[in-house]
Amino acid sequence: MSINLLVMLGAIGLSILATQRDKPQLRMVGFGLLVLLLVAAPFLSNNKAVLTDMYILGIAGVGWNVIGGFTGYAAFGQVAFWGLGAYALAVFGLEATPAQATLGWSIPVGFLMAALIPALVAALIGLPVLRLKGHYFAIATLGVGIAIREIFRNVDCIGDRLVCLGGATGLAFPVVKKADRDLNSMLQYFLTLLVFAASVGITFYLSRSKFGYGLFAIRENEDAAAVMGINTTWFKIGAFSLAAAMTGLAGAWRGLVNGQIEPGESSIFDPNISLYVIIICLLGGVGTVWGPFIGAIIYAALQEFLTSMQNVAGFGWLLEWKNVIFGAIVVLLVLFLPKGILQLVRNKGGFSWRIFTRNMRENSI
Amino acid sequence: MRLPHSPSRLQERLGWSVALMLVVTLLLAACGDATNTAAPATTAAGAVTTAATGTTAAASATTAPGAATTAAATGTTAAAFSGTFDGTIKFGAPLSLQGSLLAESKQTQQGYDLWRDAVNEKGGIVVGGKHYKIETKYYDDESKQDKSAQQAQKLINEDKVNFLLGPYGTSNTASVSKIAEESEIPMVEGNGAAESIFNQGRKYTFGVLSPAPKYLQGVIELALAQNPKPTKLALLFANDSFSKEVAAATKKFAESKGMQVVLYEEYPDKETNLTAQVTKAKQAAPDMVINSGHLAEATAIVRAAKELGLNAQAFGFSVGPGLPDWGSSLKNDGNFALSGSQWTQAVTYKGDDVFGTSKNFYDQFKAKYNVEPAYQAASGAACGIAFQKAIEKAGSLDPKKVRDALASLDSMAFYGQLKFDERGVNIFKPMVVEQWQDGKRVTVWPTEVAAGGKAQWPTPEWGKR
Amino acid sequence: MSLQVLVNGLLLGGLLGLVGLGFSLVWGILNIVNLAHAAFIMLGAYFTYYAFENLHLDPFLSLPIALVLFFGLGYAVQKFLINRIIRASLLVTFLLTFGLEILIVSLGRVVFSGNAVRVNPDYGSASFDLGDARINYMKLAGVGVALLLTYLLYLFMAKTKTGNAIRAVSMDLNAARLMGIDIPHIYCLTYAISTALAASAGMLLSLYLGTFTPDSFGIFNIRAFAVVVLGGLGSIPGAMIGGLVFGLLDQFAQGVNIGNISLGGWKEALIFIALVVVLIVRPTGLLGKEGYR
Repeated sequence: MSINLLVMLGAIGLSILATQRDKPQLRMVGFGLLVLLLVAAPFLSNNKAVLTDMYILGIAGVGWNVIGGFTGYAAFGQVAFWGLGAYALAVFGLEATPAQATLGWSIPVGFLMAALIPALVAALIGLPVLRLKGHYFAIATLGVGIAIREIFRNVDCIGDRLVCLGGATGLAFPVVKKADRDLNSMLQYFLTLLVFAASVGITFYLSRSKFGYGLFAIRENEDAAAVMGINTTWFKIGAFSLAAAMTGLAGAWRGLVNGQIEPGESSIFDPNISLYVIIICLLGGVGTVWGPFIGAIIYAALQEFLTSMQNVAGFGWLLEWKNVIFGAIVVLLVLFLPKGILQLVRNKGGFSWRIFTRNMRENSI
Repeated sequence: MRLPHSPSRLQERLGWSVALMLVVTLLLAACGDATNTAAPATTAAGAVTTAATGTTAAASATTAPGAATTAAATGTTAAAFSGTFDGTIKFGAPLSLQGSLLAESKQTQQGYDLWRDAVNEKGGIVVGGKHYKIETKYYDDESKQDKSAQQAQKLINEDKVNFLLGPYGTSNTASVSKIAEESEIPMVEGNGAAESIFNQGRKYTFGVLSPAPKYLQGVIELALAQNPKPTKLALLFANDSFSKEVAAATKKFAESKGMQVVLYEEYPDKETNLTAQVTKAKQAAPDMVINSGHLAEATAIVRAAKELGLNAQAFGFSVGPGLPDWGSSLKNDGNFALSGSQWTQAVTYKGDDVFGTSKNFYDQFKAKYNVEPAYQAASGAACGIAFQKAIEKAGSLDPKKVRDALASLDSMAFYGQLKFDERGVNIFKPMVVEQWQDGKRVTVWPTEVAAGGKAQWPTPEWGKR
Repeated sequence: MSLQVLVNGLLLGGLLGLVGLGFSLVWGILNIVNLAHAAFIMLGAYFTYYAFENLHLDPFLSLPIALVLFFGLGYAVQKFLINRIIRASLLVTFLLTFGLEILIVSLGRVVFSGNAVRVNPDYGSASFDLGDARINYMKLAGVGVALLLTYLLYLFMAKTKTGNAIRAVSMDLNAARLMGIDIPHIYCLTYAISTALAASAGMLLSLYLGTFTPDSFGIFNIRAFAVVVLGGLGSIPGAMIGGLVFGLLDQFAQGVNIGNISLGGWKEALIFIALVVVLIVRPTGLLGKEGYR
């Protein structure tokens, strides 16, 4: 069994401890051990890239939770911001080469832009789109996701080769020298972990702030919220932009890791990203602070397990069956645990099999 | 009978068991790491017993008369190896075994596997007098670039592969190429022909394929040698990076040869309905229609052309007619289609590799998988052959030395010449052109490798086939 | 010349209308965005293929069998899966259908293999000329089938007691329950009809696509979205109108140049920008109204 999988399972267990509401000591112990584990993990693991990737998707999951979980607006086009972020990092961060014209300010500026530009675009799109509700909002965001990808596919240079997006070929990130590679991957690990932790921290703060209460109010009843004096338009745009900024940052990291970005479905505009971020929240628990965190780890552990098994003797069939199993797991989880894994551990009466049947009874007709 | 406070106790128990799990996790992790560092993959791997290889050799002897011919052709090693292996060399590749590229990717994997088994049967790769067994590891990247990148790292860091074989698709190859470069592990790939991969100044990526600009040159050259000679060309291409590259180069080449491009039409990648484009092509009344895209689009063009009555002297495709699916799905409608191909079973190179001749490769492949090999399969095997030659030349498994040996490699394989320019592209092997004639693929160009195949020209009108 | 583009657009549009019809039904009545729709389309196409290859059954003749079979399949899926979760939030049902889509399509890859196949009856390319446009009989018949099914569904909803019950459920769930309507059964019926329509769309698509693999159909979920939004949610003629509008937009964007510039590469961008604009300006679509009709 791979070390990464062990780290993930340990992290899941510890986060469960850390979310025990009425056991402060247990919470502290769990939380402390969790931090310890995640800090120690890169030194134990022989392939920390998997964990880095887990954090990257996790950041985007936390982002979606702000708009989809807290505000109750199910955005289905987060991949637009994911791709925008990656392109922003490339355009502002990379040195220009004969092959590609980019601005080359610096990588930190690139990351700043990877958060700012998606946030700005989200605000602009959000202004009309956030007036829609329910399915209509979902589909508008889905449409935006596709439209932005197609625009990137067709636009090559802006101005007279001032900035080139590379059209269908996209942009490539420079290679890191082998000597710097270890340091670099360690840096990537801790930076993504930091951003991930920070975004969970932000949502934690949000959930206890006036802004956050405003979002909850909008989720429960938007008209009532408006009557209470909440400027729903700005609250929603704020949430959408924050989500986009986090997603953009995550996308930028992913672009950096992939080394090349292009506006194709197999690359940075993979439409499934929009769904993965939601699955992450759903696995953990939509609208909770810890949900996306645990969800990201569960999702990664599931993928890691199904991938690692492909090379175990006797499990070669998993190469073909992997997604069948993944689909079945999604169906079963949705049927039995629609409120995520946190429902199991936070259940007032402790763990009980009855949770499954109660869920079923509650939601079926 | 439940005590009032039992739920919280349950919860507590759950908590402590989790904590215990963590301790075990950490312990295991530490131990796992220790064993991993203690046992470098290639040196310690114990001797593999002969019994297993003996049986595979026997099995293949019954299936393929090819085995005998190979031995005769290469004459270097005995027909079956009966010693013990001194170690293993691990090759790894992410492959797209789900998703839209399944058919092509599957052939690639089969190419890798066939090469592996053929070489192992003959005693593996010989480095400094020692026999090394080839081992392959694959993951499914679902045609997604991020998964390719992740799995390449997994292969290098966890599975400790010595070398990388290419994934399927341009963007996936680009990603793995970056990982290979950073880890200084050479990759030889046979599925990413876009120039954009090789223009990055990377030193550890080698492509056995002729590059994208050459894909359809042969088709144009063939056409210009025919009577009646076509002058007006319609080009339909998908807007993904590879197809656009091929289209642009083909346009340039055709114009330099005095042809007139009467339609240069881009369509959205993966579009399955191309009636609009074929309607446009019909208006432009071209002598020749060329498509740079993928299998689904190529067949959509055939369907629409038949339906709308678009006739031309020839229809050429970058991808499509090279795959067995072309004939099995289109049947008669697939006839007369021309395609640029990296390899066909008719090419007559005399290689000094494990297969030797194309016919031999074809026979062995057919016997093992019961399908015809497409060029993807041959390219896959060629990747392995390039590695084998380079490793034997370097006399070492050191990635740097193997890289240098690859860079200076000049070898003839059943697949054609394997030689890389300073960017890592194999510009020395020509593309061939094949045509479907009466439900069979016939190699028709260039004449010196075509083994007598002649193009049927012009393509009859749809009603008269 | 543009007559041919018009013909192409209408032939494609009728087909897309049928793709959207079943999708619209489930969305409008069950309030579920059914991502498994494309998976059922895929199954329908493969059903047609196997009936044609192995039993030599003409696609148009195997259609009634497909309708019955997929009606049953849809009924079962709703009864045993979706009804169990239907009162949960929008997101949950959305994800259930997404999981189903992954499950069915991946299973399709294993069972049908990834090899490209084609359904090509002998009469497949027979056509006649109308002015300078060429019209394919088979595709015309396909549009005929699409229109017929749409009309039958319209009749069913308007004239039969069950149809009225379905509409009642979509208008006011509680009132419908008080009237003694068996809600779970109505839900199952609706989903079953939608699945049967998906299968019929799959049959038509198998005649329309050059070749197909299990992965060829995912795009039709997005197409269905667009069709339903354009036409208006909750309207049967709306779905067909939406399909025709989409088909014409699609073909004119690709088939007609503006000056010398072809918009072919921009097509998807234009359609989805149009989709978002329609949503913002007129969320109910061209024919949509509250409730279902």
